[in-house]
Amino acid sequence: MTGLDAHTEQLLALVLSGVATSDQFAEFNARLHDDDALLDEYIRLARVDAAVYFQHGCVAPAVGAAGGAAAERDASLAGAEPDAPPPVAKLIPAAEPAQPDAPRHARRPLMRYAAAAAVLIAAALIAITMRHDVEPASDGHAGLGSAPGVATLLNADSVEWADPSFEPTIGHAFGHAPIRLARGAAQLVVGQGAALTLAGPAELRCLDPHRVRLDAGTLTTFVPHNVTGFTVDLPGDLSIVDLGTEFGVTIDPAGRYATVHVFDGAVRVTRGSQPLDRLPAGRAIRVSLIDASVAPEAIVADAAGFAPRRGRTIALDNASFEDVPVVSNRGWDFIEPSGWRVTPPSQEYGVNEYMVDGVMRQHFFWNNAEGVLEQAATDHLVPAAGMTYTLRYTAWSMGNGAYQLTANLMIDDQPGDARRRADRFDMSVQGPSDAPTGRVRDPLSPKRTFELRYTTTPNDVGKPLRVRFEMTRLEGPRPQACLDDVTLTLDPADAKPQPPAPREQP
Amino acid sequence: MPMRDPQELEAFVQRLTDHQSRIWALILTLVSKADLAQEVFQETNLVLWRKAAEYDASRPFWPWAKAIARTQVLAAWERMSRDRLVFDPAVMERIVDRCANDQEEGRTDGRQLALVDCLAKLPADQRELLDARYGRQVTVKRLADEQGRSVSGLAVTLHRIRRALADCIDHKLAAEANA
Repeated sequence: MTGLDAHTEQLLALVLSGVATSDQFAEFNARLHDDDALLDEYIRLARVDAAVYFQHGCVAPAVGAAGGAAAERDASLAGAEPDAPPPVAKLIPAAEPAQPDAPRHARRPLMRYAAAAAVLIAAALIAITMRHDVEPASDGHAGLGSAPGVATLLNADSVEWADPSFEPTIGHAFGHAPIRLARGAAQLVVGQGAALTLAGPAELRCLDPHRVRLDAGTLTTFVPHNVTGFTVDLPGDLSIVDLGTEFGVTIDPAGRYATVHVFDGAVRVTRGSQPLDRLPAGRAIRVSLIDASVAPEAIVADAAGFAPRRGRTIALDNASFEDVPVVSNRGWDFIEPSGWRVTPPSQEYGVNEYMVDGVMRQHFFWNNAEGVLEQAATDHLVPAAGMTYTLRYTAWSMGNGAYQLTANLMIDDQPGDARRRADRFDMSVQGPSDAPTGRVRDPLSPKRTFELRYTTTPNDVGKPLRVRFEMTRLEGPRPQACLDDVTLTLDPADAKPQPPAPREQP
Repeated sequence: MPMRDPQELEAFVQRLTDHQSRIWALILTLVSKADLAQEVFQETNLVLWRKAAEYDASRPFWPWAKAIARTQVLAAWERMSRDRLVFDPAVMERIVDRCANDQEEGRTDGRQLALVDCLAKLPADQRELLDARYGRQVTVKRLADEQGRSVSGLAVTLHRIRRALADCIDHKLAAEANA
């Protein structure tokens, strides 16, 4: 006996089965505020619900060796049911062998809720194996068995694979076999972080963590700055060697020539051991795949048909607003954001991060304090005059009062009026909040995205760049400034800067 | 994922996989809706992975993972509360508080293992119902239509099965604790 009345039992049943109306749910939610018995019974039954879901998703996991994991993954793909949700890799063998007479649900791992863990484990094992590829053990043996794959599938929306029976899932590890697309675009990550977008019809092979071969189609390649020498081989003994860059290559449908377009950095194009050209950003060539005697032809660089990242992102350490939530701390943590310098030193600032739609989100805030947050662009000097820097950031307020947030691009530590942007935020309304902290007394202003643009002059060339934010309290008891999504991009002055990928603005 | 030592990495993966059922249970309890819980579960796993290097292996994994799961749920609440039926943060905090003493650090989740035995004791028709609802993800409304029953009637049936399983699991866990 639970001691709950019939109406409450009914509410509990409807909520746990996911069929409560909004009014019923609101009533249930309100009851949970102060009804301990109902809360305890809800938790008890919800945990059973979770266990049953999990039992149908995967059984208590154990991590096997890399080869075993790959085998499990393949088996799971073969066993996907036609009416099941999109299949996900099953890397988790059952901890306990299923009993022959066990019910069907106890034997069959459904995999739906194992998706994230499976991908993570795949990533871990790939990472381990890649490390052995790069730094082989002294005895010449990889420590964890055979490699599970060279490339990992990141995204394959609207992709039609050449083999209709091939249905890889996100996280699928590709080996050396050709990857054939009939249409659509698939995103892969290869080796230590080279990100590829393959647009079909296309055929690509991953030769090793540092080299792929494109035999047909269109490939856009982004290679992080910390990875060099990534190579795309083409027919005709051609190779495109990355020199820290982003570039696209496409092979015409007849397979006679390829065009190479460089969006950032530079590439070296070779035929056999013979260097053909070195292409900086903004240049493109067409090169014959069938006749080595035909000289490469310069063409107009064109990003159409490729999938380059928008604008060139200058390396800011804005992904380093690190924070580990602490159980005992119901609010944000007060932790120095690595990569950023905060002055004056204070406990009245903080960072937090969380995942939304697969994207790591974080924000910085000043809590009732004034100060400066700044960092230098990493490994970057102003490359030329007539280039436009675009600093974007999202800011909002979570406190009562008014403050001013000033963003500044500092070149050679000299701020200039053309580079300053000051925005005033006023929050003086008491009321409920959507703040994730649940501190309902704080108002929350809408998040707004701001942009500061600066076009370089000859005097700026070769000088370092810093990004600086200054929070100034204007009035009010407790203004809190929140800052997020700080990006800095560089484009030619005549190019219209592209906004970053749209993100939800609650 | 800056972990350098493969053994350290494997140990982290082991702990992460060991705690999957508990993380999932906490998230589902907090958000109550399986579809939203699935999103948050996957996001939480990604965050845990991203923060792997920050994890202090000398400390218990579960409180660390639980705190991150809680943050992810609150983030989901921030973006979902306008169009989904989810608990408000105050209720979520009460749920987290209730789970605060849940210090299970064992290699396997005893509740999950107990469930296997308890499921086997259910009548065949109830197992089939669970299989359809939780395995094939058939909605309660569709199941009710197929069986010619009302939605609320089927919800009550599921509720009774759920409670029978809860009682069975509690009984088994108590018996094991006393053994």
